[in-house]
Amino acid sequence: MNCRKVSRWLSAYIEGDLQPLQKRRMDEHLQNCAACREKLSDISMITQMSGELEKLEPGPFFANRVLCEVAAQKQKRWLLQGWRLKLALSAASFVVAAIVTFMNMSPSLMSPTMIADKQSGNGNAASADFVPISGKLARAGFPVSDDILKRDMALVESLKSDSQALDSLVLPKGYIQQVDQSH
Amino acid sequence: MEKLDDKQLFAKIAADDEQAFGIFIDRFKNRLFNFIARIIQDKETAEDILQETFLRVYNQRKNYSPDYAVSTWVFTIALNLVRSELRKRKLRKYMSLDFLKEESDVEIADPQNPEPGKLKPILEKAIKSLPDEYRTAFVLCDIERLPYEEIAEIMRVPVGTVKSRINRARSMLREKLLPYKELNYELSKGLPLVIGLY
Ligand SMILES: [Zn+2]
Repeated sequence: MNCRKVSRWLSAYIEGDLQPLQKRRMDEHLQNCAACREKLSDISMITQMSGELEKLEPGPFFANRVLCEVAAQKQKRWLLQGWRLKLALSAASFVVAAIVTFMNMSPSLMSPTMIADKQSGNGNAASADFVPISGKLARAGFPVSDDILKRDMALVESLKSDSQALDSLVLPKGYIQQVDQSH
Repeated sequence: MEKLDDKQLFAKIAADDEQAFGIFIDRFKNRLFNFIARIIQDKETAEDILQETFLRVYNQRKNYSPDYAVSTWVFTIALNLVRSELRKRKLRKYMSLDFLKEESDVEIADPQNPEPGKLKPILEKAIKSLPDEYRTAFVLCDIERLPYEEIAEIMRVPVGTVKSRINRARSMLREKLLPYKELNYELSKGLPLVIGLY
Protein backbone atom coordinates (compact mmCIF):
# COMPACT_ATOMS: atom_id res chain seq x y z
CA MET A 1 0.00 0.00 0.00
CA ASN A 2 1.35 3.42 -0.93
CA CYS A 3 1.00 6.80 0.80
CA ARG A 4 -1.55 8.08 -1.75
CA LYS A 5 -3.92 5.23 -1.05
CA VAL A 6 -3.44 5.65 2.69
CA SER A 7 -4.31 9.31 2.27
CA ARG A 8 -7.63 8.37 0.62
CA TRP A 9 -8.48 5.93 3.40
CA LEU A 10 -7.55 8.11 6.35
CA SER A 11 -11.08 9.32 7.12
CA ALA A 12 -12.48 5.82 6.90
CA TYR A 13 -9.67 4.62 9.16
CA ILE A 14 -10.46 7.26 11.79
CA GLU A 15 -14.17 6.39 11.68
CA GLY A 16 -13.57 2.61 11.81
CA ASP A 17 -15.26 2.33 8.42
CA LEU A 18 -12.71 -0.06 6.84
CA GLN A 19 -12.92 -3.78 6.15
CA PRO A 20 -10.66 -5.86 8.49
CA LEU A 21 -8.18 -6.58 5.67
CA GLN A 22 -8.00 -2.89 4.64
CA LYS A 23 -7.51 -1.89 8.27
CA ARG A 24 -4.67 -4.38 8.70
CA ARG A 25 -2.89 -3.04 5.63
CA MET A 26 -3.32 0.53 6.86
CA ASP A 27 -1.92 -0.40 10.28
CA GLU A 28 1.10 -1.98 8.62
CA HIS A 29 1.76 1.11 6.53
CA LEU A 30 1.28 3.52 9.41
CA GLN A 31 3.72 1.59 11.55
CA ASN A 32 6.44 2.14 8.97
CA CYS A 33 5.56 5.62 7.59
CA ALA A 34 6.02 8.64 9.85
CA ALA A 35 4.58 11.07 7.26
CA CYS A 36 1.26 9.20 7.07
CA ARG A 37 1.16 8.90 10.84
CA GLU A 38 1.54 12.63 11.13
CA LYS A 39 -1.17 13.20 8.56
CA LEU A 40 -3.51 10.87 10.43
CA SER A 41 -2.80 12.70 13.65
CA ASP A 42 -3.43 16.10 12.07
CA ILE A 43 -6.71 15.03 10.51
CA SER A 44 -7.92 13.51 13.78
CA MET A 45 -7.11 16.81 15.42
CA ILE A 46 -9.00 18.81 12.76
CA THR A 47 -12.05 16.56 13.08
CA GLN A 48 -12.00 16.83 16.85
CA MET A 49 -11.51 20.59 16.86
CA SER A 50 -14.25 21.19 14.27
CA GLY A 51 -16.78 19.52 16.55
CA GLU A 52 -15.76 21.91 19.32
CA LEU A 53 -16.13 25.13 17.32
CA GLU A 54 -18.54 27.70 18.69
CA LYS A 55 -22.15 26.90 17.78
CA LEU A 56 -23.56 29.86 15.87
CA GLU A 57 -27.11 30.83 16.87
CA PRO A 58 -29.81 33.07 15.37
CA GLY A 59 -31.01 36.23 17.16
CA PRO A 60 -33.02 35.94 20.42
CA PHE A 61 -36.47 36.62 18.93
CA PHE A 62 -36.05 34.41 15.91
CA ALA A 63 -38.90 31.95 16.66
CA ASN A 64 -41.35 34.81 17.27
CA ARG A 65 -40.36 36.44 14.00
CA VAL A 66 -41.12 33.25 12.08
CA LEU A 67 -44.47 32.75 13.85
CA CYS A 68 -45.43 36.38 13.10
CA GLU A 69 -44.51 35.87 9.46
CA VAL A 70 -46.65 32.71 9.33
CA ALA A 71 -49.58 34.69 10.78
CA ALA A 72 -48.99 37.54 8.30
CA GLN A 73 -48.93 35.12 5.38
CA LYS A 74 -52.17 33.53 6.58
CA GLN A 75 -53.85 36.95 6.76
CA LYS A 76 -52.54 37.84 3.30
CA ARG A 77 -54.00 34.61 1.92
CA TRP A 78 -57.29 35.30 3.69
CA LEU A 79 -57.47 38.81 2.23
CA LEU A 80 -56.60 37.48 -1.21
CA GLN A 81 -59.40 34.91 -0.91
CA GLY A 82 -61.84 37.67 0.15
CA TRP A 83 -60.76 39.76 -2.82
CA ARG A 84 -61.28 36.79 -5.16
CA LEU A 85 -64.75 36.25 -3.68
CA LYS A 86 -65.61 39.94 -4.23
CA LEU A 87 -64.37 39.69 -7.80
CA ALA A 88 -66.50 36.58 -8.37
CA LEU A 89 -69.57 38.27 -6.87
CA SER A 90 -69.19 41.40 -8.99
CA ALA A 91 -68.70 39.23 -12.09
CA ALA A 92 -71.89 37.35 -11.21
CA SER A 93 -73.88 40.56 -10.66
CA PHE A 94 -72.62 41.86 -14.00
CA VAL A 95 -73.94 38.71 -15.70
CA VAL A 96 -77.31 39.09 -13.96
CA ALA A 97 -77.50 42.74 -15.03
CA ALA A 98 -76.68 41.77 -18.61
CA ILE A 99 -79.42 39.12 -18.64
CA VAL A 100 -81.98 41.54 -17.23
CA THR A 101 -81.06 44.17 -19.85
CA PHE A 102 -81.34 41.57 -22.61
CA MET A 103 -84.74 40.45 -21.35
CA ASN A 104 -85.97 44.06 -21.21
CA MET A 105 -84.87 44.68 -24.79
CA SER A 106 -86.58 41.56 -26.12
CA PRO A 107 -90.20 42.48 -27.18
CA SER A 108 -91.61 39.05 -26.40
CA LEU A 109 -90.53 39.46 -22.79
CA MET A 110 -91.65 43.07 -22.37
CA SER A 111 -94.18 44.06 -19.83
CA PRO A 112 -97.45 45.66 -21.07
CA THR A 113 -96.39 49.18 -20.06
CA MET A 114 -93.12 48.88 -21.94
CA ILE A 115 -94.89 47.74 -25.11
CA ALA A 116 -97.25 50.62 -24.70
CA ASP A 117 -94.33 52.99 -24.26
CA LYS A 118 -92.70 51.72 -27.43
CA GLN A 119 -95.88 52.00 -29.44
CA SER A 120 -96.88 55.44 -28.24
CA GLY A 121 -93.31 56.68 -28.23
CA ASN A 122 -93.91 58.86 -25.20
CA GLY A 123 -92.50 56.65 -22.50
CA ASN A 124 -95.34 57.29 -20.01
CA ALA A 125 -96.92 53.98 -19.06
CA ALA A 126 -100.01 55.42 -17.46
CA SER A 127 -101.00 57.34 -20.63
CA ALA A 128 -100.83 54.29 -22.89
CA ASP A 129 -104.02 52.98 -24.39
CA PHE A 130 -103.85 49.52 -23.00
CA VAL A 131 -106.67 47.17 -23.98
CA PRO A 132 -107.30 44.12 -21.79
CA ILE A 133 -107.53 40.66 -23.39
CA SER A 134 -111.31 40.57 -22.99
CA GLY A 135 -111.53 43.87 -24.96
CA LYS A 136 -109.30 42.51 -27.71
CA LEU A 137 -111.44 39.35 -27.92
CA ALA A 138 -114.61 41.47 -28.16
CA ARG A 139 -113.02 43.61 -30.93
CA ALA A 140 -112.14 40.41 -32.78
CA GLY A 141 -115.85 39.47 -32.78
CA PHE A 142 -115.89 37.03 -29.90
CA PRO A 143 -118.93 37.18 -27.62
CA VAL A 144 -117.68 38.76 -24.36
CA SER A 145 -120.17 39.81 -21.69
CA ASP A 146 -120.36 43.50 -20.73
CA ASP A 147 -119.76 42.62 -17.07
CA ILE A 148 -116.39 41.07 -17.88
CA LEU A 149 -115.45 43.98 -20.15
CA LYS A 150 -116.35 46.51 -17.46
CA ARG A 151 -114.47 44.60 -14.80
CA ASP A 152 -111.29 44.35 -16.93
CA MET A 153 -111.41 48.01 -17.97
CA ALA A 154 -111.77 49.00 -14.30
CA LEU A 155 -108.75 46.84 -13.47
CA VAL A 156 -106.72 48.47 -16.27
CA GLU A 157 -107.69 51.94 -15.01
CA SER A 158 -106.65 51.08 -11.48
CA LEU A 159 -103.38 49.65 -12.76
CA LYS A 160 -102.68 52.74 -14.88
CA SER A 161 -102.46 54.79 -11.70
CA ASP A 162 -99.87 52.33 -10.40
CA SER A 163 -97.43 51.77 -13.24
CA GLN A 164 -95.27 49.49 -11.14
CA ALA A 165 -98.13 47.06 -10.62
CA LEU A 166 -98.80 47.14 -14.35
CA ASP A 167 -95.18 46.34 -15.07
CA SER A 168 -95.44 43.25 -12.92
CA LEU A 169 -98.06 41.79 -15.23
CA VAL A 170 -95.58 40.28 -17.63
CA LEU A 171 -97.42 38.33 -20.28
CA PRO A 172 -96.33 34.96 -21.65
CA LYS A 173 -93.97 35.06 -24.62
CA GLY A 174 -95.70 36.04 -27.91
CA TYR A 175 -99.13 36.40 -26.33
CA ILE A 176 -99.70 40.04 -27.21
CA GLN A 177 -98.53 39.60 -30.79
CA GLN A 178 -100.85 36.59 -31.21
CA VAL A 179 -103.78 38.54 -29.87
CA ASP A 180 -102.80 41.59 -31.97
CA GLN A 181 -102.62 39.48 -35.13
CA SER A 182 -105.94 37.84 -34.36
CA HIS A 183 -107.91 41.02 -35.19
CA MET B 1 -45.39 18.26 23.57
CA GLU B 2 -41.61 18.86 23.96
CA LYS B 3 -41.24 15.13 24.61
CA LEU B 4 -42.68 14.07 21.25
CA ASP B 5 -40.18 12.78 18.70
CA ASP B 6 -39.67 14.70 15.45
CA LYS B 7 -42.26 12.73 13.47
CA GLN B 8 -44.92 12.90 16.18
CA LEU B 9 -44.33 16.63 16.54
CA PHE B 10 -44.53 17.11 12.80
CA ALA B 11 -47.83 15.22 12.65
CA LYS B 12 -49.24 17.91 14.95
CA ILE B 13 -47.86 20.66 12.70
CA ALA B 14 -49.44 19.00 9.67
CA ALA B 15 -52.75 19.20 11.60
CA ASP B 16 -52.25 23.01 11.84
CA ASP B 17 -51.08 23.06 15.46
CA GLU B 18 -49.15 26.34 15.70
CA GLN B 19 -47.86 25.66 19.20
CA ALA B 20 -46.22 22.51 17.85
CA PHE B 21 -44.61 24.59 15.13
CA GLY B 22 -43.13 26.93 17.77
CA ILE B 23 -41.57 23.93 19.53
CA PHE B 24 -40.33 22.62 16.20
CA ILE B 25 -38.57 25.94 15.47
CA ASP B 26 -36.89 25.87 18.87
CA ARG B 27 -35.79 22.30 18.29
CA PHE B 28 -34.14 22.89 14.91
CA LYS B 29 -33.19 26.56 14.72
CA ASN B 30 -29.69 26.36 16.25
CA ARG B 31 -28.53 23.30 14.34
CA LEU B 32 -29.84 24.69 11.07
CA PHE B 33 -28.43 28.15 11.71
CA ASN B 34 -24.98 26.78 12.55
CA PHE B 35 -25.03 24.84 9.28
CA ILE B 36 -26.36 27.70 7.12
CA ALA B 37 -24.13 30.37 8.65
CA ARG B 38 -20.99 28.26 8.23
CA ILE B 39 -21.72 27.79 4.53
CA ILE B 40 -23.07 31.29 3.79
CA GLN B 41 -20.58 33.11 6.07
CA ASP B 42 -22.87 36.06 6.69
CA LYS B 43 -25.09 35.94 9.75
CA GLU B 44 -27.78 38.28 8.45
CA THR B 45 -28.31 36.37 5.20
CA ALA B 46 -28.08 33.12 7.16
CA GLU B 47 -30.95 34.25 9.40
CA ASP B 48 -33.06 35.19 6.36
CA ILE B 49 -32.41 31.78 4.83
CA LEU B 50 -33.25 30.11 8.14
CA GLN B 51 -36.57 31.98 8.29
CA GLU B 52 -37.37 31.05 4.70
CA THR B 53 -36.53 27.42 5.52
CA PHE B 54 -39.10 27.36 8.34
CA LEU B 55 -41.72 29.13 6.22
CA ARG B 56 -41.27 26.53 3.49
CA VAL B 57 -41.45 23.73 6.04
CA TYR B 58 -44.73 25.19 7.33
CA ASN B 59 -46.21 25.81 3.89
CA GLN B 60 -45.29 22.29 2.75
CA ARG B 61 -46.28 20.61 6.02
CA LYS B 62 -48.98 18.53 4.28
CA ASN B 63 -46.45 17.24 1.71
CA TYR B 64 -43.95 15.79 4.19
CA SER B 65 -43.37 12.10 3.60
CA PRO B 66 -42.67 10.10 6.81
CA ASP B 67 -40.34 7.88 4.73
CA TYR B 68 -37.65 10.49 5.44
CA ALA B 69 -36.33 11.64 8.79
CA VAL B 70 -37.76 15.09 9.56
CA SER B 71 -34.21 16.43 10.06
CA THR B 72 -33.15 15.17 6.59
CA TRP B 73 -36.12 16.89 4.99
CA VAL B 74 -35.53 20.16 6.83
CA PHE B 75 -31.80 20.18 6.07
CA THR B 76 -32.56 19.46 2.40
CA ILE B 77 -34.85 22.50 2.21
CA ALA B 78 -32.19 24.63 3.92
CA LEU B 79 -29.46 23.38 1.59
CA ASN B 80 -31.58 24.13 -1.50
CA LEU B 81 -31.93 27.73 -0.31
CA VAL B 82 -28.23 27.92 0.55
CA ARG B 83 -27.27 26.65 -2.90
CA SER B 84 -29.53 29.13 -4.61
CA GLU B 85 -27.96 31.97 -2.56
CA LEU B 86 -24.47 30.75 -3.51
CA ARG B 87 -25.46 30.64 -7.19
CA LYS B 88 -26.78 34.20 -6.95
CA ARG B 89 -23.52 35.32 -5.37
CA LYS B 90 -21.45 33.62 -8.06
CA LEU B 91 -23.51 35.30 -10.74
CA ARG B 92 -23.15 38.71 -9.05
CA LYS B 93 -19.42 38.17 -8.76
CA TYR B 94 -19.20 37.17 -12.40
CA MET B 95 -21.26 40.18 -13.52
CA SER B 96 -19.08 42.55 -11.52
CA LEU B 97 -15.92 40.97 -12.97
CA ASP B 98 -14.66 40.29 -9.44
CA PHE B 99 -13.79 36.79 -10.55
CA LEU B 100 -10.75 38.28 -12.30
CA LYS B 101 -9.29 39.08 -8.90
CA GLU B 102 -7.09 36.47 -7.26
CA GLU B 103 -9.04 34.30 -4.85
CA SER B 104 -7.53 35.41 -1.56
CA ASP B 105 -6.34 32.45 0.45
CA VAL B 106 -7.04 32.29 4.15
CA GLU B 107 -5.42 35.40 5.48
CA ILE B 108 -4.65 34.18 8.92
CA ALA B 109 -2.29 35.27 11.62
CA ASP B 110 1.41 35.40 10.87
CA PRO B 111 2.58 31.77 10.92
CA GLN B 112 5.98 32.86 12.25
CA ASN B 113 4.43 34.56 15.24
CA PRO B 114 1.14 32.84 16.08
CA GLU B 115 -0.96 33.82 19.04
CA PRO B 116 -1.32 30.94 21.48
CA GLY B 117 -4.79 29.44 21.70
CA LYS B 118 -5.83 30.90 18.36
CA LEU B 119 -5.92 27.76 16.28
CA LYS B 120 -9.72 27.59 16.26
CA PRO B 121 -10.22 30.95 14.52
CA ILE B 122 -7.63 29.82 11.99
CA LEU B 123 -9.54 26.59 11.45
CA GLU B 124 -12.78 28.58 11.03
CA LYS B 125 -11.20 30.69 8.31
CA ALA B 126 -9.74 27.62 6.64
CA ILE B 127 -13.23 26.02 6.56
CA LYS B 128 -14.62 29.18 4.95
CA SER B 129 -12.07 28.91 2.17
CA LEU B 130 -13.10 25.37 1.14
CA PRO B 131 -14.99 24.97 -2.16
CA ASP B 132 -18.79 25.05 -1.57
CA GLU B 133 -19.60 21.36 -1.99
CA TYR B 134 -16.59 20.26 0.12
CA ARG B 135 -17.46 22.78 2.79
CA THR B 136 -21.08 21.58 2.85
CA ALA B 137 -20.10 17.92 3.28
CA PHE B 138 -17.48 18.83 5.90
CA VAL B 139 -19.84 21.03 7.95
CA LEU B 140 -22.61 18.41 7.91
CA CYS B 141 -20.16 15.70 8.98
CA ASP B 142 -17.60 17.25 11.33
CA ILE B 143 -19.60 20.16 12.75
CA GLU B 144 -23.21 18.94 12.62
CA ARG B 145 -22.11 15.34 13.18
CA LEU B 146 -24.66 13.81 10.81
CA PRO B 147 -24.12 10.25 9.53
CA TYR B 148 -22.84 9.77 5.96
CA GLU B 149 -26.13 8.28 4.77
CA GLU B 150 -28.11 11.32 5.91
CA ILE B 151 -25.58 13.71 4.37
CA ALA B 152 -25.88 11.81 1.08
CA GLU B 153 -29.67 12.22 1.15
CA ILE B 154 -29.45 15.91 2.01
CA MET B 155 -26.86 16.62 -0.69
CA ARG B 156 -28.50 14.20 -3.16
CA VAL B 157 -25.23 12.46 -4.01
CA PRO B 158 -24.08 8.85 -3.44
CA VAL B 159 -22.61 7.96 -0.04
CA GLY B 160 -19.25 7.26 -1.72
CA THR B 161 -19.14 10.81 -3.06
CA VAL B 162 -19.87 12.18 0.42
CA LYS B 163 -17.05 10.13 1.93
CA SER B 164 -14.50 11.21 -0.65
CA ARG B 165 -15.54 14.88 -0.36
CA ILE B 166 -15.17 14.78 3.42
CA ASN B 167 -11.78 13.08 3.20
CA ARG B 168 -10.64 15.61 0.58
CA ALA B 169 -11.95 18.55 2.65
CA ARG B 170 -10.03 17.33 5.71
CA SER B 171 -6.83 17.01 3.66
CA MET B 172 -7.31 20.52 2.25
CA LEU B 173 -7.81 21.88 5.76
CA ARG B 174 -4.67 20.14 6.94
CA GLU B 175 -2.66 21.74 4.15
CA LYS B 176 -4.00 25.16 5.10
CA LEU B 177 -3.24 24.60 8.78
CA LEU B 178 0.23 23.13 8.31
CA PRO B 179 2.03 26.49 8.70
CA TYR B 180 0.35 26.89 12.11
CA LYS B 181 1.22 23.50 13.52
CA GLU B 182 3.63 24.98 16.02
CA LEU B 183 0.64 26.70 17.56
CA ASN B 184 -0.88 23.35 18.27
CA TYR B 185 2.31 22.04 19.88
CA GLU B 186 2.07 24.98 22.21
CA LEU B 187 -1.55 24.12 22.98
CA SER B 188 -0.59 20.55 23.72
CA LYS B 189 2.14 21.79 26.11
CA GLY B 190 5.04 21.22 23.75
CA LEU B 191 4.31 17.55 23.14
CA PRO B 192 4.33 16.48 19.50
CA LEU B 193 0.98 15.11 18.31
CA VAL B 194 0.65 11.37 18.44
CA ILE B 195 -2.10 9.12 17.15
CA GLY B 196 -5.02 9.04 19.53
CA LEU B 197 -3.97 12.17 21.42
CA TYR B 198 -7.40 13.68 20.66
ZN1 LIG C 1 2.98 6.78 3.98
